[in-house]
Amino acid sequence: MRVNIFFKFIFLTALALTINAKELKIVGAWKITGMEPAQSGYIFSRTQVAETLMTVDKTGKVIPSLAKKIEVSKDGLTWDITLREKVKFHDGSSLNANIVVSNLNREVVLTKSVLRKVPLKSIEAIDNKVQIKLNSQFSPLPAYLAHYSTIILSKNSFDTNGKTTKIIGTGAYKIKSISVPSSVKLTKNENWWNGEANIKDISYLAVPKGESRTLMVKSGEANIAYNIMPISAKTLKRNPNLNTTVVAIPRTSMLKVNAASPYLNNKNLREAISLSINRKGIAKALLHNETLAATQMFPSGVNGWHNTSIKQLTYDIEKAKALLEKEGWKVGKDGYRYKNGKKLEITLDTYASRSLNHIATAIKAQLKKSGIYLKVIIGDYTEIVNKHKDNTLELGLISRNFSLVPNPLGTLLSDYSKGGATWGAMNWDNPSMFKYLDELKKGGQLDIRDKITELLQNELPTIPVVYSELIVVSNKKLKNFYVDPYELNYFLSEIKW
Amino acid sequence: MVKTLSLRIVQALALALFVHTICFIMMQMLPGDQATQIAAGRYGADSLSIDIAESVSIELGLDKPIIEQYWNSLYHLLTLNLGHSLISGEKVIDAITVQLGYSIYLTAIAFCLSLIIAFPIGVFTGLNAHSKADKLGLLFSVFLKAIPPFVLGIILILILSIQFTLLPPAGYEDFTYMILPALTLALGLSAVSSRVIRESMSDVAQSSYFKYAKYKGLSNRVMIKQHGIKNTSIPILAFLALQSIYLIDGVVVVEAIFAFPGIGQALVEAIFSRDVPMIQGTVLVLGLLFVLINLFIDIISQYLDPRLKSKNA
Repeated sequence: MRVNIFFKFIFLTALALTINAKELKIVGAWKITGMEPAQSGYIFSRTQVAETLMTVDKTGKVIPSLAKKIEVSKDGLTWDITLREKVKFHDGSSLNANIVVSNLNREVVLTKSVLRKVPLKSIEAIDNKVQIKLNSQFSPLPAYLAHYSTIILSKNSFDTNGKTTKIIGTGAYKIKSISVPSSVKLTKNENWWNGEANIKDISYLAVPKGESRTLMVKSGEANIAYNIMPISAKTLKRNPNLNTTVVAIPRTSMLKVNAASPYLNNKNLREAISLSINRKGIAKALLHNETLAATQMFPSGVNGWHNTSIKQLTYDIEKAKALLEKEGWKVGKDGYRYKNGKKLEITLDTYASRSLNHIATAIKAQLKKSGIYLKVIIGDYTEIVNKHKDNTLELGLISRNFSLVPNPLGTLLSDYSKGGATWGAMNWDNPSMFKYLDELKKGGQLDIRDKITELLQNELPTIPVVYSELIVVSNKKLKNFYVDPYELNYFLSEIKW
Repeated sequence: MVKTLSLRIVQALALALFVHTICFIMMQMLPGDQATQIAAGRYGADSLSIDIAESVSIELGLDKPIIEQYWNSLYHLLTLNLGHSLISGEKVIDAITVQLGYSIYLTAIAFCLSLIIAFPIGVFTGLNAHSKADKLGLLFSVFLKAIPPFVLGIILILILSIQFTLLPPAGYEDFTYMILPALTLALGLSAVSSRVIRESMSDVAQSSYFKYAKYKGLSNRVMIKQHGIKNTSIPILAFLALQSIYLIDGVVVVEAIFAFPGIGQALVEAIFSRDVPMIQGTVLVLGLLFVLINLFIDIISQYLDPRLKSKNA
């Protein structure tokens, strides 16, 4: 009897060890384009190799991570960050204020990371605290310190010129081997300050082709596959061994309007375009999910910014026609509208990503019903940047992520301030907007957010079309698997077999 | 032999200069701003902005006159310095060494596999020209050649990875990950090779020396081994050298489908992100490899047919 129990114990222990020893294989679309955090920091931040001073919890709230506490002076110009104690990097060295300061003061971080958007005066180590001094008030600073480009690495990660050569972080996993640009193998960090990861070994493989990711997770070659195409998700949902998780993410596909162009400087014309777009139809036919039809700039998951009190964007072709008539655009023999012998012709630039190319052609067909001729140019996304720069863009269909800095104010400050930005407004100079943004930047009342969203809805400097979703397929055997809509963390340390 | 070697060395030098210049010109001729493309390759769409593109332009000296940029790159080439990738910052030679290693491994297996498939089919159909088997061989050949590699690759994954779970569908960890991409390349390659072998074998079978060997009473096996294979090999070798072009072309598609970390995928990415040193380095190495393959084929051909030696002497 005793022998029997002994063998059972041995067998179960061996089984448990085998299961724990099994490598968790993740496939995603993102390549490791380099070692610099501003380039590929998201891979190391998502896989919990490296951590930032701040992070985001599962409700989207910015909370301390490597920072224990963050305090701001009364004038809003000095931020003191107390660091968590007893935090060690994967090479055994300790986290301290000097290391954090040297990380954040690197030239590449100051010029290429999100910190370049912050009015920084200095970053210094004082009494083992990190002190950030600003030239002007900037309330969303904590959210900027959660961005992947500000991950904190050991001093042994850099060469003598301050260039990142290795990723030695403080996270739940450390790098076992890395093969730029396609794969990284991780093993758990036994000395993680925040507990212990459940799965020992993890591998991440960049597989740019969506079809290949689908086939890999279907065959069992991958345990988790990120960014599955909606068309593939349909078949994967029927697979009894797989779980398909669909999460709405704070990303909106929208029309970027050059508010100085001869036609689009007219608000009624912008509204007519908006009313002519059948968003539900596009969402249903092209994205296979009708709920992705945009009703305003921010999807419902963006707490504090999704405004239910404003009039939602709708599809009303008759109202669109009436607005065009009011502006003097009459229907010609060819079905398109003319004014003073000029055809209502607008050029739309877009690129083949997130179905934008298909959405553009759908919008072209829908605007035709109102008599607007849309000339669609499908190129590369860098064309949007260049055409914004030389002011030749008329209308662009783009996709904007509001969670890169996990406080949408960061994105709005960049996109809708004076002069606009590549992925935001163009030649839309609205004093009320600048005033509201400035007030919020200085830590003003949160109800200003409602005024901003209302203004965006009424003025339409960008016209929201559809929201986005993230489809992730995982093996059913995995427990505690969570998909972060902010895409900052894969929460790998919580996953169990 | 000396003449062959010196000819190929001159060819390699001319090729290096030509490839370097053409790549540089073509990259300059592409529409769009180079600095913006590089910034996009480095930082991705969401982080791309005008200020980032401008800082990249200053950092890499892309604001300097084009002629100056060209002379700088030529100087690097002459000093055998392929430079650093503009995207990852990695040494181009290091990146190519790793990626090319994977691709050579893959193409070598594909090449051998294609010969294993093509030789028996080609020899058999050549010896039985215009028979039903020959027509079936032609059908097999046309069918395989007509299917694009990306379709063939997905069909193989669906059958061998999804349906029968025999092989991993993509990625690279060990030899088993090499089989499907190699098979995809090999099937496309063998479709044409088998027909060339068939033609060559058919010619040999019609030749007087082959008939004479038959009248002498030699068995089929001995005839093919002693007279068939060797005489058939010379034109086939020349053809196979040309096929290396197909392999280089094919790996680009196949590596993308199978997420294989080879040079084909790296080249496509480098082109998209305007990583000029990476493109120049990769194309140069591929070009030199092609010269090397031809040199190797020349030497083998001379060994197989000593008459070529006297011609080249």
